[in-house]
Amino acid sequence: MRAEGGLRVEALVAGYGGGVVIDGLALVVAAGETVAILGRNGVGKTTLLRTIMGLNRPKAGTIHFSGERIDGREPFEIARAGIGYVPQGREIFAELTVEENLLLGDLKAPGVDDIYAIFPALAEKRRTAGGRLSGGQQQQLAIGRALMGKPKLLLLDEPSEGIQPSIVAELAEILASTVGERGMGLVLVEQNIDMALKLATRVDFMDQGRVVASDTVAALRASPRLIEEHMAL
Amino acid sequence: MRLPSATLLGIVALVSFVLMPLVVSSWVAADFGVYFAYAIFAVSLAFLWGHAGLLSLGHAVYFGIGAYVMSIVTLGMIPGLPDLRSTWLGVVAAVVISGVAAGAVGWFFFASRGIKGAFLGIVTLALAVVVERLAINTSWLGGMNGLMSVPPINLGLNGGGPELYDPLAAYYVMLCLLAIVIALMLLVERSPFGLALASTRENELRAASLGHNVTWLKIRAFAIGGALAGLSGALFVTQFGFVSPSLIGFALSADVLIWVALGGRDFLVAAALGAIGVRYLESRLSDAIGAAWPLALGALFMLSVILFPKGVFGEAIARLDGFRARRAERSSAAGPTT
Amino acid sequence: MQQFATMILDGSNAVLVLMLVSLGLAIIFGLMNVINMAHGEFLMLGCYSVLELRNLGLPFFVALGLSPLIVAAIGLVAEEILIRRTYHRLIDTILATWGLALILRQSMVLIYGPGSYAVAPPEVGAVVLFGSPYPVYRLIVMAVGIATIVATFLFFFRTRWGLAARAVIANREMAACLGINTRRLDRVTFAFGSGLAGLAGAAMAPMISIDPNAGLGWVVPAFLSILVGGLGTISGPLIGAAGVGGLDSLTAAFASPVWAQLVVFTAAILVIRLFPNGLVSRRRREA
Repeated sequence: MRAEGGLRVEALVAGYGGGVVIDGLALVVAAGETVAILGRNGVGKTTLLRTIMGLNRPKAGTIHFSGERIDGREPFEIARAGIGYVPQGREIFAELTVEENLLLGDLKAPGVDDIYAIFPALAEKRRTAGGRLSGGQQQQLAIGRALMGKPKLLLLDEPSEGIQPSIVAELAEILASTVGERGMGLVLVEQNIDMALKLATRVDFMDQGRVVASDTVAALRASPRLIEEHMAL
Repeated sequence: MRLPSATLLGIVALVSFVLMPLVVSSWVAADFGVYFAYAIFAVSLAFLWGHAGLLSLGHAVYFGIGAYVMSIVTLGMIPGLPDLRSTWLGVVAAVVISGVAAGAVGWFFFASRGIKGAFLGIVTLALAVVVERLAINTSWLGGMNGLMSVPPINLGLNGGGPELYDPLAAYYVMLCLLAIVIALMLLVERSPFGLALASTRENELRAASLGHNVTWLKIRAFAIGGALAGLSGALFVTQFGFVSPSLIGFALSADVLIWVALGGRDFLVAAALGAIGVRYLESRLSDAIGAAWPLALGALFMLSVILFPKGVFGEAIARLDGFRARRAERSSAAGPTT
Repeated sequence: MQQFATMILDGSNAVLVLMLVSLGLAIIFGLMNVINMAHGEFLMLGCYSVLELRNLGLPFFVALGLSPLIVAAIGLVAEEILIRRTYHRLIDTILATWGLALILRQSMVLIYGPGSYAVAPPEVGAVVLFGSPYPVYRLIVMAVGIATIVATFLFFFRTRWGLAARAVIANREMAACLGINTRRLDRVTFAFGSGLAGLAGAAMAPMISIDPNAGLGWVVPAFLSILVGGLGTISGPLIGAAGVGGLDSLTAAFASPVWAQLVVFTAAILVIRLFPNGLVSRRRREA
């Protein structure tokens, strides 16, 4: 996985305190590949993204990005290596304006018009504090902020969470075209299967801290047995 | 049955201290009598900080209250009761008053939406400065000079009995009290109350959801820590002979924090040894290297925070535990030998 | 009336110095989650720095200008050697900086002895204000204080670096995930915060007696200011410092200096108890 933007996770073990959440996980995302990760609550999807981002130190295993080893690096170094991160709960800066939030994605950027072109709703609210936006707009802001850094790989943690279904569909539409245009890789953690199938070309299923099954989206559309098996409560 | 390493270390230390007067002079023993009082003080902070998770940066307040109360009683200074000079009453009064004071402070800080974590440290530190100022400006308490000529422990019901004047006797009495205090506090830590307190330290919300009254637990812990600090202050002053505002405020609060952090906040024995160790080094080294001693202590302290966050003795106990657990595992893996 | 005017001016002076000290402490805490118990010692170093530079024959105002830089450099070294090794352990930052304070105080004892020194104030004379003469130097101190506070505000609210700093204060983890170099920001922050304390110390140098314990009395009022004002904002500590410093000056003037600290600390503890989030309260993210 030497290519620019490729991610390779091997034998990863991670968790909080003494507990192990990720247990021997392997994951490969080729440059420009879009992968959705599905699984029930508590199987370690969010922990996986946090560990890739350097917010969690792995207990064992390696993570390579663009051919370079990134596990053990600081989150800011990982971000600068070309990984954009949209965390669960969006984590926008509630007291900063929309424009300031976006600028934080790239402090050297001359402006944020590229993002306004993708999300015109944000342009109208440029002077509004991020915390006063609706849930859907906050999600757009969080995604726009991550896009500002021109990432080669985007990590999205449940972008559909807490957003009206009609807006989720619109968001999926915009994301799909942006990811396609930019040729970015994507790792999408989702509960919303429609969104996952719309954005990804491959789906990995997680259970008990590792990837236990994988299939292409085309195959899953034809036979959704795997989805039922791993998503049913 | 295997003993925990902390207990093992405690027993080794106790035996060494019992034997120590055989090899050292009686004036060294007299010094150690005072160190043991400090060790009880350190145990009270380790209980609050290590076990209950309540960082009191102004803990000398309760030590000072104990010392002043003991002095007032044994010097016959209680207004209207000039003939009252009982050491026994002094100890009881010191423990009760400092305990009640700590409980009141705890109630003030913890009731309803209380103050937590590091901020508790800051406000308790400010409180210590306030109390120190009060002591300095109260002429009844001797102001800046404090109270002098406090008598040693007197075994008579109201003074007049045999005095615990001999340094060796005082040494063993203090050692005995220290051992008893640690044993009792270990029992407290393992009681249902102590376990509830530990769960509060780990996760207050979870403890509350399990039905514990978190506020009341913390207030009780603060009162117990204060009472114990008061006891140590009372015992200290019977040996030291005088009490001054420096014992009730910033300086001693800073000292005890260093002893406990350096020794190890998670184990009462480690905290006690931290106090004894630092005091002993201080008496030996301040002669030898003079003004460089506080510099050395500061450097040692910084190093220990970086390298041994559990404290020197705390780290030793933790490693010994790990080592013995591994050895036990190996020997059991090797199969039963006959 | 004249006495009253002088009192107000002296009080403003004290408040501004406390604002500088609290601001440095609050920035370090807000950005780095470090409780710097050695902050008063950096102020003390500012005093000694002026003393030493004056002894070298430099003009007073050059010494005043250089001292914050020297103290900031010392802060940078302390951050590199000590502070960064205690990140993510809030209580340990208290302990480590407590040890640092001990070392800094004792180093001054070893170098300069435990006795006190005085620095002669610059010969800038006095002006008549509200009918009574007032030392110009004190007015200069006020001007420097105000200018520094304004500059700090401009930096935080008008520059991209300041934007990054505000993001780190609001949510350190997320800011790092956006590629903000938290390591470099930490270094700069600690140096800047120390420098502010150093500036306060340097400005105070001609007005106080300089000894190794000169910083000891500052850290508690500064922390109380921050807690009274509220965390997470830049204006909180300033308002807190105005309250703490102002009440201190008033009590000292109308009652007695002996009781001032007692009254102020007690009042501050009460305010903190009643408003645990500070007077300029703001929802802090759960951490």
